[in-house]
Amino acid sequence: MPDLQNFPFISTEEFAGGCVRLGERLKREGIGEVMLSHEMGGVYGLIVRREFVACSESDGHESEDEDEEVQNGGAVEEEEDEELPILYFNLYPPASSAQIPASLQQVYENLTSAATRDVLKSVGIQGAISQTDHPVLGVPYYFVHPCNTAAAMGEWQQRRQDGGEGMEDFTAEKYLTVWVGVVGGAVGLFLPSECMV
Amino acid sequence: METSDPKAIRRAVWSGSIPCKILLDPGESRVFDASDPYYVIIPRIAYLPFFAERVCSFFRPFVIDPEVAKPESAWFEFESVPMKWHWPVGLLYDLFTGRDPAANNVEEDDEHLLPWTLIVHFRDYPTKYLMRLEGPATCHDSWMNTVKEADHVRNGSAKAVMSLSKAESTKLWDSLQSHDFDQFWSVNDKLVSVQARNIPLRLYIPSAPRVVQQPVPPNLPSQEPQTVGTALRTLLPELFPSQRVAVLARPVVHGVVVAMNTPLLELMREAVYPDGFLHISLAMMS
Repeated sequence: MPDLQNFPFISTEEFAGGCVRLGERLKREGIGEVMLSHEMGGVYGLIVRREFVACSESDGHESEDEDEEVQNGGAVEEEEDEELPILYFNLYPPASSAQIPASLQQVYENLTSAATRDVLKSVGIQGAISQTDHPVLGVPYYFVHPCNTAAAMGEWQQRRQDGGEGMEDFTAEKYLTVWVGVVGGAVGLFLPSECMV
Repeated sequence: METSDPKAIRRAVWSGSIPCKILLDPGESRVFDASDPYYVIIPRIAYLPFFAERVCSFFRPFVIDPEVAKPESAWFEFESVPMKWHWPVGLLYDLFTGRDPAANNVEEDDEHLLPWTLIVHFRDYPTKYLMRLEGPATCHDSWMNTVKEADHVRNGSAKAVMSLSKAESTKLWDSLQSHDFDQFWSVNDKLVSVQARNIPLRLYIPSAPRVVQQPVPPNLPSQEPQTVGTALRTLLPELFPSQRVAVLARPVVHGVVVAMNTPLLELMREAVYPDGFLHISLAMMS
């Protein structure tokens, strides 16, 4: 697979190719799959992964010590003349079989670590996470602002180079793996180590 | 004939408004359906959250549970459909009343008599379909995201918007809320008047409704200008088999049918919504 032409940016074609490779890898590891679709002049890769996480009630009410289940669906999207992917995701609190998205506060409390929370909340008007109508699905989804993606990927590259590693063999599939870790990591989405290229 | 005011169209767009009549959901009212209606004229380019505080104050004496009557819990419904608060009010009206401004049938027009009647609810916010309003900043945040997206479509990056000074950025939002044309365009003109790579365009098809957004360049490969007709034919060929004549649906912007041969770039510069997009709703022809 050819190297990226213009890191930290990724073209639509590179993104699509990376999704396909990543999907093959996820499937081999039995972790999930990537469904690729071309819609509205863009390319969308939907990573389907269900993870059940036990966490405690965080709203301050007296509670029984029940475990809650949260369900993460990650949707990755890139628009045609955008050079950076955007991560769309949702969080469904338990007992919401009707798939009702959590509040922004619940997203921060359940998906972000204390370390990153303040940083995420401090950018923009009300933080780096916003809601929008998903461009394909049409229902409310959260997304991570792409404004800092280029810088974050650049920082990752810098650390790698400081560590003596170059950018040879840096394919689109690698990019996506890193990207999910960098951007997705901020909201608790990551690929297991078996998926690291 | 020369227009004396080169900003005439922008001013006309800015001053368009929808007279609204807001009723309280009878199920939430102490007096069932006998609470007063709230009459308000809403600018086409404004957003419902701008008026939520006023609506709340007006209806608080009538609601069964006043604790619930907060601006963040208010949602508006038209004919059983929750109205998306991040869409401009003029777009909501044009799309959901489905009125065809060019229809000759007067009786049909009577169905869409103004004022536009909406029902306000404070309970049971439909979070599956409507984005949440965490507070006043949410509407600002959402609008700003759209402004950045439009910039990205125009230029391939959102640098122009990101490099506005804090004062300019604040001016944009404040002047939108206070409905100040001169203040708003003193900042917005430079964002919109660029040599755009693509036109920020969104098409709204009634019923679902379905939103179509695709990058559309200002010129065709032949170097001829992209028109409303050529764009519609490219994006929705099943609804626009001809790029010259509207056959199945008419494109409506700010309540007015747009001629199919209108150059898209010019239309964007004159009739763009404050969020940077050309929102075009389709009126199905009977």
